[in-house]
Amino acid sequence: MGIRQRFEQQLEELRTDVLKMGSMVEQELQVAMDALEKLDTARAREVFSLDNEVNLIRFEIEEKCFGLIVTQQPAARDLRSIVTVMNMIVDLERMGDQAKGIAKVIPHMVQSPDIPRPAELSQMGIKVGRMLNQTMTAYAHDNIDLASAVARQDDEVDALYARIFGQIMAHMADAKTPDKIEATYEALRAARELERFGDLATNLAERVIYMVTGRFQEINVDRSEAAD
Amino acid sequence: MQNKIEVSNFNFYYGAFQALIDLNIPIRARQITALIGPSGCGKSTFLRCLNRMNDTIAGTRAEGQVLLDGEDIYAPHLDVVALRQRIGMVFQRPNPFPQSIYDNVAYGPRVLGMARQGSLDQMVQKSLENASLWGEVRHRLKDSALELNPGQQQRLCIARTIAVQPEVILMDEPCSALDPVATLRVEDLMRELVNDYTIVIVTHNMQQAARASDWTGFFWLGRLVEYGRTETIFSSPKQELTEAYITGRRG
Repeated sequence: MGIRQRFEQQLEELRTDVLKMGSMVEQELQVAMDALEKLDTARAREVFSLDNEVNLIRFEIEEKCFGLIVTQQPAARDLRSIVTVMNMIVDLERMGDQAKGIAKVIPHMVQSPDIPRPAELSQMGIKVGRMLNQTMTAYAHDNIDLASAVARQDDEVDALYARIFGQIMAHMADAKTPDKIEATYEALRAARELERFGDLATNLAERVIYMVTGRFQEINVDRSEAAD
Repeated sequence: MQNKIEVSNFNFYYGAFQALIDLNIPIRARQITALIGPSGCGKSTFLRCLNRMNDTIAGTRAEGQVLLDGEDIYAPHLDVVALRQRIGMVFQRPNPFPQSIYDNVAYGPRVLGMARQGSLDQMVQKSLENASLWGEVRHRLKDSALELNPGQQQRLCIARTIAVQPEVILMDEPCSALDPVATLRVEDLMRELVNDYTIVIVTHNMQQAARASDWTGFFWLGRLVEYGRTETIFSSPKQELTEAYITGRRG
């Protein structure tokens, strides 16, 4: 096999690795949301071990990227795809942390069962999970239309977050003791993790657009301002 | 940004063979322009057209315009010797004259009657300093230039070129015979020289073009396929052919 053919094969392997990492983070989110739904601490602990695997694969991929840059001196599209991967894996790793953040909330909720759990939380979880899935599909197929569509969905996530924020604030105002206020905050924290997850999915989509077109383009400039 | 040279609708023929086809390219003043492309694509031919070195080849013909500071260098009655003083050339292989280091650098100013002996010494020193060679040769100026190593010889050729105070320096693969350290020294030198001169370099080394130049033109089969900022050409070229070439998939 020629050097260039081998390089192309390595670039394809890199893409497969990133897709695998994306599906690992998606699974991590699903398990976290399931644990939140059922207030299941054992299920929440599964998220921690899934997150360790995500962290490991991130470093494996990063090392491959450095190897390709050093040995192949990539340019143009090749360079963009490697730089994109290096950025995507950082965001994916952060998204894994966000899922872990949700899992961390669960023991607090189990101890204080009267903490409000707005229905919008699971809606947010479904939406940001779908955003990640679609972004990875866009990445797999160089589909910039799909990537743009993903980024636009972030407004809906922000709107859900704003609603949760309002409900929790009202609940905090009603809560009489510091303990109750603190416990109520945990539900807000889970919502905040999901909102950030959506932001990072948008970042990923922007990276995909850059990889394909070579142009930096911020798709959803108003994101995350809904409740900040 | 000012253009030192403007090439418009330029065609060049070796007999019946058209080597350059409808070229339009601005050469920016006091910037480094790299010309890349596969062997035989016309980039060296184009470089030689910029100081009419192809005139010496029988049966060649040029059409179109090459303006140096707005003056057509292909105008009839143009003084070609004076042109080549303004636009100097450094070649692929270091080609010092079989003379002393001093005489190599003094050659141009002497022939052109540019300086008397006292100021000639100063000219030689300044040229060697500007070519980052003075410190290495100041105590052996009377030694033969052929005793220098290839990297030093190439910097001597650059000193010889700048001794006649040109405005543009053309470089035809100036580092292809040099080791990586000598190559980097020449590239560093180019970066210093570009404060005073306009530089056009032909190179087969993609990393060199990416590292050393401000602007890059990609040639293919006698045409200029793409021209732009070096960062853009190497990160996001607009033409698929450029992309294929710089990523090693065509060429």
